[in-house]
Amino acid sequence: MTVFRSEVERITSRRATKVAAGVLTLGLFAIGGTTFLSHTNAAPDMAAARRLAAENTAGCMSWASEPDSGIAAADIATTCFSDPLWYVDDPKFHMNQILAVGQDGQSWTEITASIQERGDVYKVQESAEEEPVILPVQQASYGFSGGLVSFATALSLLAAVLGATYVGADWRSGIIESQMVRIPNRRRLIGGKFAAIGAVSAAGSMLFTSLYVAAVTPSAIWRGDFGVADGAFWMDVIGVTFRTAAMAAMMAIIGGGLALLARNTVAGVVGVLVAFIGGSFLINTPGRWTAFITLGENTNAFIARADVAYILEQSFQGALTWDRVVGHGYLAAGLLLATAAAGALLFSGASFLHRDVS
Amino acid sequence: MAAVITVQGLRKEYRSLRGRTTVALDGVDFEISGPGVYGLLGPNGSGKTTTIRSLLGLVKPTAGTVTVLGQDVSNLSTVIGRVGALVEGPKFSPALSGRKNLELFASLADVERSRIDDVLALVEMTDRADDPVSSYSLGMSQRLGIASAMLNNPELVILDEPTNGLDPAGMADVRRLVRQLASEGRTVLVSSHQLHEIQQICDRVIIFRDGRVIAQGSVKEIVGAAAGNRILVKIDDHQVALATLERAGLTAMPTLDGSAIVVQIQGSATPADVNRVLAHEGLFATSITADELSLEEAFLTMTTNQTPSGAAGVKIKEMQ
Repeated sequence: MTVFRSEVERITSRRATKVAAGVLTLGLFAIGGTTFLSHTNAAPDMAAARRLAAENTAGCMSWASEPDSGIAAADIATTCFSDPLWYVDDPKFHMNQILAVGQDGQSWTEITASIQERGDVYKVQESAEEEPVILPVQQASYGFSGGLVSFATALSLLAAVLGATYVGADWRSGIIESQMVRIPNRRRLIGGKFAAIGAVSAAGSMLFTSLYVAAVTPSAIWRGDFGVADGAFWMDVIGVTFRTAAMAAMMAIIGGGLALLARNTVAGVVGVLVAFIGGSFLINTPGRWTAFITLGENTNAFIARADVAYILEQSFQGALTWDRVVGHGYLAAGLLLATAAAGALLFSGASFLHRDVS
Repeated sequence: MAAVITVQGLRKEYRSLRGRTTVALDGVDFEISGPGVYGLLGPNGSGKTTTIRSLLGLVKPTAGTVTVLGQDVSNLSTVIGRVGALVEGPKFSPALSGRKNLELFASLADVERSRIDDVLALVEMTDRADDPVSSYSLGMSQRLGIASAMLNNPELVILDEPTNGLDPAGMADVRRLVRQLASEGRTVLVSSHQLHEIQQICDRVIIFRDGRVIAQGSVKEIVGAAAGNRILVKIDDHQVALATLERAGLTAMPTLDGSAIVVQIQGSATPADVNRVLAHEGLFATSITADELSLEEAFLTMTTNQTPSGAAGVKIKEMQ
């Protein structure tokens, strides 16, 4: 426990941690400020929008009333409805936009129900004559495309970089050696160090995802509304926050593990970036294996409660087809990343236990 | 009473990726039995730091046994609370203050934070304790390093090159501090290239060369053994005196600075015999003294087979 406590204190005392926290805080102020300022909803804008909506409705109703329009009288009002918000450049800021964009008018429960519709079973065709059955993929860009999810994914990557720089700096400065002189039990030292890295990353990411929500809240209060942010919405926000915390901890451990293995900051940071970004280049390569090695896709899927897709190449009636299909869901993505973190910790830990420090 | 440190048959090999083996330590044996100041000496690459790292569990020996405070080094955790060490210079977070760095080490070693003021006072760093370490001179960092080694009030203090980068006043401070620690009943193991410092503070020294211990004992024993049986004769007419001594079958040569003659006493000959030979030829020495080497000269003699700086051409038999 003493190692954990000391490491937490050291991580939070680090200049790099303070700088990252400062930059993030400033960034959140900027996000909050620009969101607030870009949703002005001035009275003349709204008046013009109402006028355009009314004109559009009138024109539509005139056309729909014609016998050959094919519109039943009972449906005319619905068909010709025009929302003034369609005619303003700066619509109101709806709180649900931090999780999904362009889903006005539905409750969050309805939105999530519609984006979660998908078949239960994916069945690969058994013969080239059988038409492939393609399972709809729930993509992060369709479901959770809001700023919070993107921000949370970026936080996870930042945690990985901070984990790598923290462990790498310990080697560069020789502090790890000074620690080993005081704690000869290497298992205890490395256990405490990585527990602290994970805990600080998780706590930090929870703090900053919460701050993100807080940063845009004034826009919803004074320049918009909480729209359809019902109980399900807030549960999803909390879910994103907790999944981001878990992801940040795992990513920090992966980054730290790589740096421990290489005893070098650059190797740790580059390793994480290659795994995170490099996978994106493989995502369009056919093969189920791509779903397992794309760190960024899996991170995003876990946070956004989305699927990790891959390109399936099939032959149908003599022609090749390529379809994006579901590889695995968000829980499997989380499990995959937890396995990667455990692997990084075990592999680098074993190396740390057995290698000399000289 | 159990020895503070026992090293037996310590061997350390490093293997490169290409399969090449480098032997850093080749059967090192020594024992440190009680309080006092002990010096580890040797040229770069002779094995001093590898030995210290082995004592602290930083490198794993290829063969041999190492015990510290009665425990095998694999059980170092059980006695580490009684050991303080500074290995290859101080290592701190530069952006944090000296005090904060010490607080972090104290927290790591589960040491009361009240001890921090004591160790800061010990190394006279109280005034600068709240400044960032990045603003410290090398000497101040060294003193802070010693302070960190003293946090747990250890019985055994291991200091690797503690005077590195210090000015003369700083060296004197460390010298005084090391002696003070020993006078408090602690065992202090110091490695250093500052042989003049070692000579002044160590009770016993252990000399390394090529991964082996080639000599160990008190400074006086080491210097005496390296010097052999030689005397320094000051006389007016060097040329005549040298010729006279040579005719008498004695090995003699002028010192490098030409101020005296070094005479190797052999067999049953005594300094009085040398004086008699010279007097017989009407030559009278102004002084005849034992030729005392400094530890540095003895060290160079033993580690490189070099001639002591005080005499040209004299070769002293290496101790084994």
